Amino acid sequence: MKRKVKGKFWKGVVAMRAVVAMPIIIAMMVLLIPVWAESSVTQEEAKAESHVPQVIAQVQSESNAEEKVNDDADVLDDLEDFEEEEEVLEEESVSIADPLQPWNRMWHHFNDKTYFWMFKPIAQGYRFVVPEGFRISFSNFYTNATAPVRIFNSLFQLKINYFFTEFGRFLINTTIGFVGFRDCAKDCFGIKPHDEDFGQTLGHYGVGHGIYLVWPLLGPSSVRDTIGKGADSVLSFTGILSPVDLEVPVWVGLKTHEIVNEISLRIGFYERLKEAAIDPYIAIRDGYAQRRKKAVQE
Amino acid sequence: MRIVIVLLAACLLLGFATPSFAGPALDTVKSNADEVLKVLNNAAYKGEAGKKAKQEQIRKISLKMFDFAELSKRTLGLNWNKFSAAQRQEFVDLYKGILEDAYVDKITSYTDERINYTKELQLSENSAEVQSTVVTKSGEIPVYYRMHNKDGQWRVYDVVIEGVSLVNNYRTQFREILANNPPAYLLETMRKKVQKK
Repeated sequence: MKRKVKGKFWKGVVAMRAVVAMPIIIAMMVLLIPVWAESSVTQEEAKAESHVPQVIAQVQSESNAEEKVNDDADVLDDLEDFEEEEEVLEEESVSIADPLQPWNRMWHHFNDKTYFWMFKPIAQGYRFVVPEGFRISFSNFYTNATAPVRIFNSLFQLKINYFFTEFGRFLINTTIGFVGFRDCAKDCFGIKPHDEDFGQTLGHYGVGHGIYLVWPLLGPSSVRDTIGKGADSVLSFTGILSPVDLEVPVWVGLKTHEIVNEISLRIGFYERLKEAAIDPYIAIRDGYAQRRKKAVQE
Repeated sequence: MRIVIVLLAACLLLGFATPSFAGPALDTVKSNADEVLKVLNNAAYKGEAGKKAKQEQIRKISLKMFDFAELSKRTLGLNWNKFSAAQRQEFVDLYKGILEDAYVDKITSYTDERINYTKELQLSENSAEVQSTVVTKSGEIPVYYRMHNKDGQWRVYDVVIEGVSLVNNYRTQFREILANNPPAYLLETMRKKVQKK
């Protein structure tokens, strides 16, 4: 009984959203013009600079620039001013504390096996059945459903331009983008997505990772980013696919589909990463630290 | 007369509308990438043998595009000094082998990706970062090339893909191995990896 009332309340909120949306859209259109203008300019610049032209005039410079590799011995000299050099390098390198390494390595191994034995075969079957265009549309839809996470976190960090960008994207994609199946904001207006989450918000205000954590099935994370994920799942309650609006089995089904769909678009990424690495565990950990650092900075 | 003025105005406007970020480093990356694309789109290479030939061509281009010695030095950092001259040479060769195995294969499987060169950033007097994005069907991947100028030649010493620096990523891996093991052990590990291919 209680659930029903709650459901009704949220349905009311959903209906309200539709009524409130129209004036907001109009207001946003006006407010967003500078953002559009900016992003469309950069797009044009990018296009102007775009090349995949078949430059045929590119006459064999291969032959003359041949094997000019490291024959000269001085290339292999000691790093003379290595202190200075090392300072620069250290400054750039990002580290993340990993006191639980044996524990993390165990879950890394578990996730690796789960991927190859379970997720990958399922995703391959799914990929075989569902055309790529559909899978990209599904991916757009799920991304749009979590828009509140990006909108609120942009706001928390007082990144007003990203707040408008993401809010505008949400409104456009939810309406003329067919509930988000089409990323019309990007395709029609050139408004590119910008990712923000609560882990980044914490990082923005100076909170460090704490320690590195590898979760079963969820993969690489840290204490900070795990807390962030928790906060984001609360924020996503205000989104389209809120667990509040949906029956539990439906929600679980959608989540599963989302995961399989995402993996189907990324088959081969993990394999290559693993193949290129000397120690895949460290490579992933370092990659995670570097990516998160960049995400916080932007 | 009017037409001339209009044309002049149009030229001026176009000139302002498309500011050029191009520099010598960007041009180098672009011309190398164009060469790679030319190899990839060459219809003469067919089947399994064609794939091998393509990979061989791309390896050749990578040799002049990348400064593998510099890449190695930066990756090892202080540990570089622990390696003997012969070990350094071997390290450079093995590292090159690992990178080529990992990326040349990937590049040959590219189909309809497009590359946009966004800009060239001056990092220091002799180094620059060329920023580009690889546009695929499901999204855009920022790829930055860090390059330096040695004897008038711009060569790549680091590639940053989606914010992850290749050099930093391998440095962390090598550092953990070298913390408890001698250089010979690392070389042995790398040798095995290259031979497995």
